[in-house]
Amino acid sequence: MTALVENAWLVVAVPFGLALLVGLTGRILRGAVPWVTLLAPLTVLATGVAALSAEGEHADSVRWLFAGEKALSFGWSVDGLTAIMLTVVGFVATMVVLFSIGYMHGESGLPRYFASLSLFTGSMALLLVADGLVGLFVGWELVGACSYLLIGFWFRKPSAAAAAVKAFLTTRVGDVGLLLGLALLWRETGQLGYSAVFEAAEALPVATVTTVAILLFVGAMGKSAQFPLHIWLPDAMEGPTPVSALIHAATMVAAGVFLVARMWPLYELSETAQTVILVIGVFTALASATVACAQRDIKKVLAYSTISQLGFMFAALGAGAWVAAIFHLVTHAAFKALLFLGSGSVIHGTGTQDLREMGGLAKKMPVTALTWVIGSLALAGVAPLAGFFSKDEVIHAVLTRNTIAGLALLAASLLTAFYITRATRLAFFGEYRGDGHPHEGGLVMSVPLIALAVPAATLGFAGHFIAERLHEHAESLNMAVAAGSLAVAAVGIGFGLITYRNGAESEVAVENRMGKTWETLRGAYGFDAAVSALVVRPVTAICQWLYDVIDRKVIDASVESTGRWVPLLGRLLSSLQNGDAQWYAALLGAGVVGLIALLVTGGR
Amino acid sequence: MNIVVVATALFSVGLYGVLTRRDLIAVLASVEVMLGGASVLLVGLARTIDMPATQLPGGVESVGVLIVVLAAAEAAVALAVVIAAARALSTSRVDEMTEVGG
Repeated sequence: MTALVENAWLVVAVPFGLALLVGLTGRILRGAVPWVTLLAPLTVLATGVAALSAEGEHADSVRWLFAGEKALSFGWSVDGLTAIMLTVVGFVATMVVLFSIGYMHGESGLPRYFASLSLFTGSMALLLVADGLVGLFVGWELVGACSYLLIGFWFRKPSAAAAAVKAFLTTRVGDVGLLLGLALLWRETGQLGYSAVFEAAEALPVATVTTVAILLFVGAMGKSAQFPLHIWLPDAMEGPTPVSALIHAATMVAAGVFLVARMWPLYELSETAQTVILVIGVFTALASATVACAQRDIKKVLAYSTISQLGFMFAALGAGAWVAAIFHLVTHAAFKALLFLGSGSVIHGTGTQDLREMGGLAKKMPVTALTWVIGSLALAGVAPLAGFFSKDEVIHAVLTRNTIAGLALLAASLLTAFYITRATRLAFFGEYRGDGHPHEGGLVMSVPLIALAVPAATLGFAGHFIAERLHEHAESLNMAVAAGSLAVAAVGIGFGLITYRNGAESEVAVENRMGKTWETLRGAYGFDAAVSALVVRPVTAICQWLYDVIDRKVIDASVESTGRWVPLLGRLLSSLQNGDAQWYAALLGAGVVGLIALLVTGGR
Repeated sequence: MNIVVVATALFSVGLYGVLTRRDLIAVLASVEVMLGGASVLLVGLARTIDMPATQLPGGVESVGVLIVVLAAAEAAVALAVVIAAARALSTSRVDEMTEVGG
């Protein structure tokens, strides 16, 4: 087991190698493709588990890019945080690859799909095991690229292709912030390795630390879909559902939380940066929880729920409770991946994503229904499921820091319980309203659901273990907060059950009664349209102008004129060589006279 | 100095002929004039500049004789070329012989 930890670079090398292998020999491997791919997340999982039980830290690095006397070092290190994250990523990725076998059955381009999944696993692992911001940045960009590839897996569908581009570009906006943060850090300290940066940061003025911290957080906002860079995540649901579970619920979108937690010694120095994170986290959590209530698409409900839960994590980070944030990240990864895979199973069985065309699935898809309910209860924060403990720690931390923010999070929890109850009621209970034949997807789809339901139910008890691995003092359960948040969850669920007591009829009634409000919520407050009008369209107009004027009239024109004046020059020069021997002799004579003149005057 | 003036004049007149005469034979004749200018300069300078006799067997006069012989040989070859060219291109005018032109 220790051999795995001592060679932790394998978590990057093996998935990358498998991605290459599967991508190149997919036609030969055929049905074996997913099973070969499965080795990638299993390597990550095994290393994560081994690292969880291993003592101390393991690290290795090489000096990579030299610039004068300075050099960028590129290496890996494994500590408690990395071990926890590797385990989460490895476990969810394993389940997702298994689930994909059933969900993606009969699709064309499967080698491409599994190669991308493997590449993603390796990139995510690189992001996690890197021993400095350079390696993290490389992994960060690679997961973004894989996300683009996988959202756009059905690239012939225009909406999927557009969603892929949108996701890539929106996260890039954040990435620019991250890159600027790295550049500033390099200029100020000359270091990008974690421990070196933390050492150097203490000597920096607070203003500089704050700037760096906020720039890094901008990167995290892009990756983790925090307001106002959240707009790409709902669109990213165009990708295959297992991909949504892996990348857009459990792992990649949590990378922002990981980044802030990893750089925590830096954030500890800046009160301002913490406040910014707290405000954005709480606002995102509350706003997107309201939006989730009105969605008709089951995946959109989960997408806004994910944004909201990531907001919870950032709120915890902003309140200084980074351990609680990581704890919530871990439990969220389990129950949200479970919910996404559950929705995948539903979509697979019914052929629709519209909640209005489901209903009564509990009878026809019992395994999916049961695991979904476990996931929902965990999300709603019902004791003793995982979400209860982690959300409780988050809310407790935020309440301690700022009462208003804490109450806002409680309100978000209430909405969380409400919208997930609504989705559960509409999809799984009542009468079936679609015209398909809902069915379970077979073992490859049920096993991952059950395997994820176990941690979704029990991970709450791992809080002490996680805190211990992070070398932090474990928070014990605060009874008042626990009772409060439990009451909130109960109210949310009860309110949901009463509101939607008649299933689909209630849904119609609610939509009629709420009218415009509900439409605004479904359209996510029109923020997307506003971004289109205020950012996308001006930028497109500027680009169009650049194309029309700068590209066509300046660059193209100058290149094309090259084509015109070269023959002109050629004709001029070719007239010198007219075949007249006397003309040559005259030039020769002129040349000799010139040379002699040069010799006589001595070149003066 | 007169010798230099005469030699230069001869050479320049020859060069002018080479560059301006359109008939190949005339061009050839002009070349001979240039050669004459060169040999006048050589022989004439031999009189003014003290040149040790040991360096050139037969004295400087031998150079003049050498040029005369060379000119004869050159004229024989060149005339043959001129005749061949005139036959091949059916013209003896230099400005019409532009086969190698671009």
